Amino acid sequence: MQRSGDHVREWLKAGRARVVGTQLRVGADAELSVLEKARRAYRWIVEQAVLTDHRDLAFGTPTRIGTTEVGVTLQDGPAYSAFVLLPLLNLLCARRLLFVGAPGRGKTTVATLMALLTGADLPTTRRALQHGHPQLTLADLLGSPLPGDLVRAVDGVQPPVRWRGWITRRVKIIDEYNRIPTKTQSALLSLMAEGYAEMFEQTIEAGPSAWFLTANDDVGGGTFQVIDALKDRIDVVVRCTPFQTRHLDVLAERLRDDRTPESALPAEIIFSDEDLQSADAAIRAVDVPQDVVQAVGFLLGQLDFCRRASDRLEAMNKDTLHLAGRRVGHVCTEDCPLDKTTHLCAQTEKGVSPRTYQAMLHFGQALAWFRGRDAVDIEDLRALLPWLLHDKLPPNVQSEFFHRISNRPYLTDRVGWVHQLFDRAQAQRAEYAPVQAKLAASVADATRLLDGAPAQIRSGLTVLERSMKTLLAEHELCGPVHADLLHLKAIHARGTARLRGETL
Amino acid sequence: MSLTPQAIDAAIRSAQAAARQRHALWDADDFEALCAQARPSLEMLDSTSLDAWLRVAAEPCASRTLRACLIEAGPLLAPIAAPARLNTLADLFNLCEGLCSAEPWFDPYVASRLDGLGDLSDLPTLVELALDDVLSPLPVDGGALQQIMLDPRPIDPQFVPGQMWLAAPRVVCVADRRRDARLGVALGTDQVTLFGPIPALDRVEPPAPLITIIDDYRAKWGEQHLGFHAQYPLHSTLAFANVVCLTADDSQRVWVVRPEAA
Repeated sequence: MQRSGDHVREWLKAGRARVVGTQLRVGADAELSVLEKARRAYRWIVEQAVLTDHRDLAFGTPTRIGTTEVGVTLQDGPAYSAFVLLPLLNLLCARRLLFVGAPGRGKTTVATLMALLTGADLPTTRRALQHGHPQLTLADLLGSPLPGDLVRAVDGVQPPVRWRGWITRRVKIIDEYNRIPTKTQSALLSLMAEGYAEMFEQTIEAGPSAWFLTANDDVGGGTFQVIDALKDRIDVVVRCTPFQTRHLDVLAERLRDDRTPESALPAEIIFSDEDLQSADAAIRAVDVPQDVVQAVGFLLGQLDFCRRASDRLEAMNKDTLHLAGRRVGHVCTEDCPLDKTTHLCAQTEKGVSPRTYQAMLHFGQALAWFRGRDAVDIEDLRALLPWLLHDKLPPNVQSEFFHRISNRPYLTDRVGWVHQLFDRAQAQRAEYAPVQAKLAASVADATRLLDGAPAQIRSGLTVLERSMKTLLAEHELCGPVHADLLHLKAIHARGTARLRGETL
Repeated sequence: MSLTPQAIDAAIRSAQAAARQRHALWDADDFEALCAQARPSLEMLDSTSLDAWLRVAAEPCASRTLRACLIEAGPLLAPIAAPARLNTLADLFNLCEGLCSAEPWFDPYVASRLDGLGDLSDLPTLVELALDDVLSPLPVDGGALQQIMLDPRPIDPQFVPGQMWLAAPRVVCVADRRRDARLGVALGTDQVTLFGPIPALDRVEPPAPLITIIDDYRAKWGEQHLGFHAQYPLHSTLAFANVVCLTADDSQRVWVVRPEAA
């Protein structure tokens, strides 16, 4: 056993406090883990920088106080401010986030703080910030050859481009991106989507990048319409929280001390390159259980489905309608026999792209990591969905669902609406589970038979056809049934190809 | 030469600003409360010692020993020659941070032992002696049994002792029977004291009891019979080596029975 004297000598020897000349100095605290650093960064921003009491990413069992119309919902799990946590997770995942909100609500401040968290200094961060404006040219955004090089340019040899420094920075901030002209938006799209910029037949790689864009509103109030492809590249949208007057004293204190949040970022929460790499690896290592993937798939699969888009199974989706210049509202209420208040497909104008699925799972991993869990939980995704689907999921306002008085608030409260979609999907999934279990057994039987001799393959095909027939006879053709029919049909096609001696 | 109140205020503000730059979870209210409590002390310090005091006070160290010593730093540093005060403050901080990194009872126990300390000149030795006193094993003999009554009310007026368990060779953890609160009993060689509050401590395997508890009123150790002074009925008992700890149903006190020379 270690004696007390040993303890005392060790503490004195290894302690952080030292006298240097006529000063007492205390060395840095032991290196924080990257998770602890992230948690402290979150707390510091919430408590010291943006001062928000909004905790809109909440976990646990809800309890309602008051009436259904006027009340407070309390949850017994942790609760976070999406306005702060999602940008932090976006930084660690190197993805793309859009802040929306009125001027002066802290959009650019939080984006700037994210850059400072990577160790960038304030003047450099401010220089690297791209301000969207109607005259922003490609050269302003990306760079251009120096005039001298242009003058000396030889035929057939492109002058070297002097790229703008912000392109290779880890944190890229585009302020008021909806004021950027359409042509410049296209250049931004390549940079955001593909990670490179091109000019004068030269390219530059952006490297791992966390994007932060801001817009004063999210309904197209900018100078230019934002191109859909650019919108689709944005993984998550965060709304700024309103300022709470109870924090006025802190503002007064900042004024007195001539201090801004950006100028006071504590050294201990700055992430080194190694920290960011280690966070990225730890986040990607978080398990995404199959059940969670299926839960998300059950919801999102239904959103893309439209029974009236076509009589062909493969074309029963909202893209078919849109490509024909029609909208869901045109066919849904009048032609479709499905109950609009039950089937989720009726509530949305569009489905979501696979890119959104991917972002959802990546942010789910990041949130689970931040909460100290080694696997993503359905709750993680439920909490994140409203922000991940914010710009991706326009409601079908003509739907009967929204005509009900009790559902009308969902047209303005996107968070509540998406949560409602998710919760209904979970309930439907539980109800549909026995059908899927039966189908899974048939698919397993059929797949085994399809690996055999021609007679067995034919038996397998019969099993599949019987399953499809039962599915159509016993259930309405809705989103989940449609997904299962497509799956059965694909397996059936594989079987018939084998019968013909082909491989698919 | 002592500093003016304005100079002290300016130094505190400057220390606040620097600390805010260093620590993400900086608790300005707590720092201000500490400075206010220590104000008479700060007025006794010279400029160099004040800067050192502020540097140490601005570190997020949860040591009760450190806080108590910082509040009394003026008189505690007064007997020490000015050039040595900085080293004393550095030692104080290093020791207290060490105490916090060790078993969770170390710091509250040492804080209770240093209560009423005259100066900080030989702090490392004092800490070492205090720890030695409760880390050495209990002797198996020691003469006539004595009963010591401990009153938790000066530390926690609401404390009602309940279950007890051994947490170190000479440290017993006593849990409140109604609330989530605990105190420690330090079975030092010279004195038995209560200290705390403390977090829930891990249990250590107690040595086999040498004293037999006969009933609510009596115990036996070899040829010695002892009638308890504790109230009865007893609420809980803990017997190990030559020590018995008792709590009673309708009392806030803790009784310890052990040999006079322990």
